[in-house]
Amino acid sequence: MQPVEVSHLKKAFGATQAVTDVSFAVERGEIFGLLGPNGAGKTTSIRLMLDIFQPDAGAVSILDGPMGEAKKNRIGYMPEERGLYQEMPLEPCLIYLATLKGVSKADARRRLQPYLERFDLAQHRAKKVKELSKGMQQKAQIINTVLHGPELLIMDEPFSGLDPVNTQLAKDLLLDLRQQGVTIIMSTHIMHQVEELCNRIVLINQGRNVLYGDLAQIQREYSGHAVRVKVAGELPPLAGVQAVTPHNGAIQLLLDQQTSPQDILQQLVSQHSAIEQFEIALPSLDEIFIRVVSEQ
Amino acid sequence: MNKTLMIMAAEIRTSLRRKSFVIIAIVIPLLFGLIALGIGVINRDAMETALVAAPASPAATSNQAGFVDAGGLIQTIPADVPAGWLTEYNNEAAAQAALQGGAIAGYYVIAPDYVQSGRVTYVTDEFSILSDHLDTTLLEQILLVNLLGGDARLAAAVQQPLDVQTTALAPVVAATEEAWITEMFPLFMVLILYMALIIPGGILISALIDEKKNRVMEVLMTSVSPAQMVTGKVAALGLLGLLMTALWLGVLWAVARFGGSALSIPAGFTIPISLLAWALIYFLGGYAIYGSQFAGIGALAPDVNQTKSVTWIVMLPIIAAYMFMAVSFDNPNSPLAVALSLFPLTSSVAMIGRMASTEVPLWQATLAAVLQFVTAYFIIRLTAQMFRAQYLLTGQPLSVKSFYRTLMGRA
Repeated sequence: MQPVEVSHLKKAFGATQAVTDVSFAVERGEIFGLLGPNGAGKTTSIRLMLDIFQPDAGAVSILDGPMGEAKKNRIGYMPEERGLYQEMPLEPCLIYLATLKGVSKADARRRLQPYLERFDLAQHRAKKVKELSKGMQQKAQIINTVLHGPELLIMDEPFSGLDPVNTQLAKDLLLDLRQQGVTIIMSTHIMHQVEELCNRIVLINQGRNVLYGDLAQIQREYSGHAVRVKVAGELPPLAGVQAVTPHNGAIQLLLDQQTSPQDILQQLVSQHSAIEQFEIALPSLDEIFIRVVSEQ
Repeated sequence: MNKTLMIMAAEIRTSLRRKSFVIIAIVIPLLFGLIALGIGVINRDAMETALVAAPASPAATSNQAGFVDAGGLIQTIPADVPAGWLTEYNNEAAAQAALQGGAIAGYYVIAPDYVQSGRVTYVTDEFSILSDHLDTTLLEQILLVNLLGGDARLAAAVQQPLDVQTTALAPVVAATEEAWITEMFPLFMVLILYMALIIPGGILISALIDEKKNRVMEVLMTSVSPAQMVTGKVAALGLLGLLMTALWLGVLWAVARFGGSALSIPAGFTIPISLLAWALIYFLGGYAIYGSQFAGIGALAPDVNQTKSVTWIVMLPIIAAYMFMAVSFDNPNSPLAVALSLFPLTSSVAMIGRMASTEVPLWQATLAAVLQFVTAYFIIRLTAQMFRAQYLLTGQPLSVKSFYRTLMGRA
């Protein structure tokens, strides 16, 4: 059984239909991308998964069954906006929230130390949360989400407010956790991070699934009949090319229906071009996202 | 540890970090208590010293004084004046010598024209702000007896023309002397209950709204159930309210017990322990009724500003009870006073005010408590539906109408 299975979820608040029909499953030990434009129903879907809200229809299975109070200790949830006590010093705040997840105070203190050091927060442990910078609060929030050693992590915009160095620290942590078998659901707008971290995604728009599955497969499905080429010097004339457009230092060639990428490669080799890059042109997730949402 | 207890402990720690709460609930009552205790101890020591000291003692107490009767008015010293407490000297030089020798703490000089001018001078060796309260009772009594030709009985009648004996059909709870504490005691009891209900309630509302605003609520919802969270908070602030009530009642008891004559507290004045116990019971019932509604307001409101009108409406019964207290104090067995003391929304304040003013039949006191707890049970059941994640996480505007619609399950 997969650790998260969501089937045809539906939820309305008064006259507003927040989620119409959302379904997906998350495999054990993967980083799964939950994507969608603002107001698509991502946060409501997360709250339905966590049993914070009751769905009007549909079913959720979390960690091999329905969500219950006992399972709360096995899940780490990081909301988009920071959820820490602003007036409390950092260390007692994180320890208190960890104890609510079933960890003893002493154990929480012991687990906290390496995380504080990893995220360069050790010297700020006695500061009130409100005295920390936005980035520091975000790192503290990440620590809060993982401190109790959850099996399932659900993170809403985990890299928000982080500089590139701290973003990398957070990514490394997520990759380490995946390595340890932790299942991670990541909701974000930053598509290149999804491409970098996620194996599979679901894209929600207007409360419905619009894309779901393996990321590479989705990109292949949305790819046009094109290749990206970079050669030393001038690109020689090539038969079967309908359009030539520059793309990140390379050249994207749109092929006609009778020409295959192999034909183009053969032409380049036969014309003794020094090939530096040759790849099937897959659309970026950003491009797919914009295309799908615009079509909707 | 149980998660509800964890939340309760955390809420107590957070509330105890609030300066305003600590000052009102702990520092002020403790300060008053210590002052009352200090005054009482000083007063008792002074009394004991005065009673034990012999007239020949070299260090005179303030009770030992002399007088010089320059006008020759004083012919008789009443028999009830303790020996050595007011000694006559023939002239000021002799009185001064006695003062310097430590035999007396000071002496009065009764002017030759005293009958026309009423002038009396008190001479002491040094002025102290602590001893500026001069007890002239004995001299007044001696002068009055002598002004009335030495007739001590007539003087006593002039001093106290009325000797009213009050007879109550039921045993009297508190002293009936016209002392400030007798008059103010019911008001103090009412104020303590009123504060103990309002202050923790206010903290409860702001604690819930703070957690909603800084999104901790969302994190908490994935760690504990709404019921655990709200129960922990309501119980924590109830406990703090109980502590606050107990402290203030303890101070009032200490003032009555140890304040003594230094605080003009009549000798027979005591606060019955049973009254303090009833106060704690009514606090618990009242807090269950109001605390649960305050928690509901905190659960529904997106910010503190939107709670004001609803809080005011919820508090209206208790404010009304407070406003009608004057009626209760004047006539504690009037139909209005009895009704307010039995009505569950007003009884926590009104019954304790009545009990501090008069003897309340046990059946009425018990009935008020039972009605309070039954009402609390139903109000808690109604407010419980406000503690749903949907209300705790969404920021819908709060109005009096929406509050009562949600309370009645029609939202």
